[in-house]
Amino acid sequence: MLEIDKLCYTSRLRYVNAGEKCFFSLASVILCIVSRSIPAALLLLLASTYLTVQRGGIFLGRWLKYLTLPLFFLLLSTGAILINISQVPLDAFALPVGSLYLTGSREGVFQAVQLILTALACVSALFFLSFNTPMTDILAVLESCRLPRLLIELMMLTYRFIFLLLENASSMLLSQNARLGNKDLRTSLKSRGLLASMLFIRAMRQAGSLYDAMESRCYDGQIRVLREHQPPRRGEILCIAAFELLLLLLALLPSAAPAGWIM
Amino acid sequence: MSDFILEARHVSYSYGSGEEPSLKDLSLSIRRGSRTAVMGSNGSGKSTFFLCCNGILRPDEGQIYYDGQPVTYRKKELLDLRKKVGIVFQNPDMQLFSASVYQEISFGPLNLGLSETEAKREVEEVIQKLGIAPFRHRPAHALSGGQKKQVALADILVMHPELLILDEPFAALDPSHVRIIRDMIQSLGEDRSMTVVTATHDTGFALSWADEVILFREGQVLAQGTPARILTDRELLSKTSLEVPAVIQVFENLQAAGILSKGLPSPKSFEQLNMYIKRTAHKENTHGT
Repeated sequence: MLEIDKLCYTSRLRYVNAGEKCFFSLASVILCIVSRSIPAALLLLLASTYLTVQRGGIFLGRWLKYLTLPLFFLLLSTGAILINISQVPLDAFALPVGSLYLTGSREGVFQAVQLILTALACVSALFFLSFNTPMTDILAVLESCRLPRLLIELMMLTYRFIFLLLENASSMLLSQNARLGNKDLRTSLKSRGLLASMLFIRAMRQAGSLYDAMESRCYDGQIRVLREHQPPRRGEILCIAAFELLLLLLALLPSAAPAGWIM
Repeated sequence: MSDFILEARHVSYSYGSGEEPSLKDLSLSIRRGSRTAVMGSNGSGKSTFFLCCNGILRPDEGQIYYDGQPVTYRKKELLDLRKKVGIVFQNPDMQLFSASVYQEISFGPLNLGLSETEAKREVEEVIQKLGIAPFRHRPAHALSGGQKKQVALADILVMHPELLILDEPFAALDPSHVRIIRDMIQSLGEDRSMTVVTATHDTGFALSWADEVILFREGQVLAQGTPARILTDRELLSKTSLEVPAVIQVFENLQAAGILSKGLPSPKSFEQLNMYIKRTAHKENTHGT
């Protein structure tokens, strides 16, 4: 997660209007999920990869590494759809185990492939968003979508505090390690307990100081800040619109499993 | 308009009912347009006093006066006080609340009620002035300590306070950032339109920069006076475990060794001391030939 946070600040697409990026991701995700179309999913997967790797300048290896994380879970969970235990062999494949069969139908195989591709494409679209857009820009988009102010302010403070907390925790962990605080299971359990309680106390204290500092700057209960805006570009909007249209066309294609799809 | 921008009279404050008070019957006054160095060991009540100056903390006893008027703690007047008194906190991580530098700096001006275009202009101006432009697009958590300090200073300067309080501005900075921040503080209020108060342990800086030094000890004012008087008083300084500035020590040694004449006023900086030495050496050379 922290690596993604670092990457998005170096992406070449960082200064592209955040609204455009959000729209691209969300519209594509919705189209893919609703249609479950395999060609649409493949197109989206390719597009996110192209945009992030080629245009954004993120290493292909790193991108693939992040995509394989959800793939692992997907493969585990689609196993249940793919494989049946039955007394009669189904049409796709069958493996005799004693008197039973480990078997799957063509319909099942098709469903599994469809599920994996759709999910992977959606994840890739969301990865595209988070690899190329800093959190603060996403918050600005949410704000212009009229999300309640309170939520936005909470998210803004939470985002900042994640890093403060992590910094505190890692420095405490380091100093515990330096004093053999993790030499065996017993001490390390005790150290972790201490760390958690200290972290809580420090977070409370830090929040208090932050509140004082904000009050010193005339904070009156509402956080008002200026947003830096990257203006949307006509060319980019046209490209996104064309892409979504293409995706829609592919999604509308009949998606039944073609006969003889699998041997 | 009062001569004194801020006065504290018999102020006491303690953080909890059973706790040792952080401020004990403290009285002091800060002249409008002056540069004041507040010195004293950690826990001597400097930071607590600063939080009293803008009404974040309300004294248990005694009264704070701003511009001759007693500070009331009504909400509207408190906001008004905080517009005029800006505090740069010691630890920037306790001050920066936003991950974006630009948003962070724009918080103050918008709270002052500026329009978005005015606020934008102010923010851009301070970003240029304090040299923040090279890292303005980086998130707060990716900034170095010194850069965070620059942003923390910008946070407050953008609001144009009348009284600027800097709580240990050099704490935990590397030498290059000490220089940046020091130069910035030197240039602040050069026209004396802004009153600047700095808490510091650096006696050399206080000597060269301040018009007035206030020594804090155990929540009380131990002494207040010109740097030339306070910072050369060994006995007084030892009570707050401060040391006489290096430049004064060298100066006194040179006097004791008969190299510099006894009548010279004590120098404010090494540049001034070097001038004394050059002048004396020059005189001796012309005598010799």
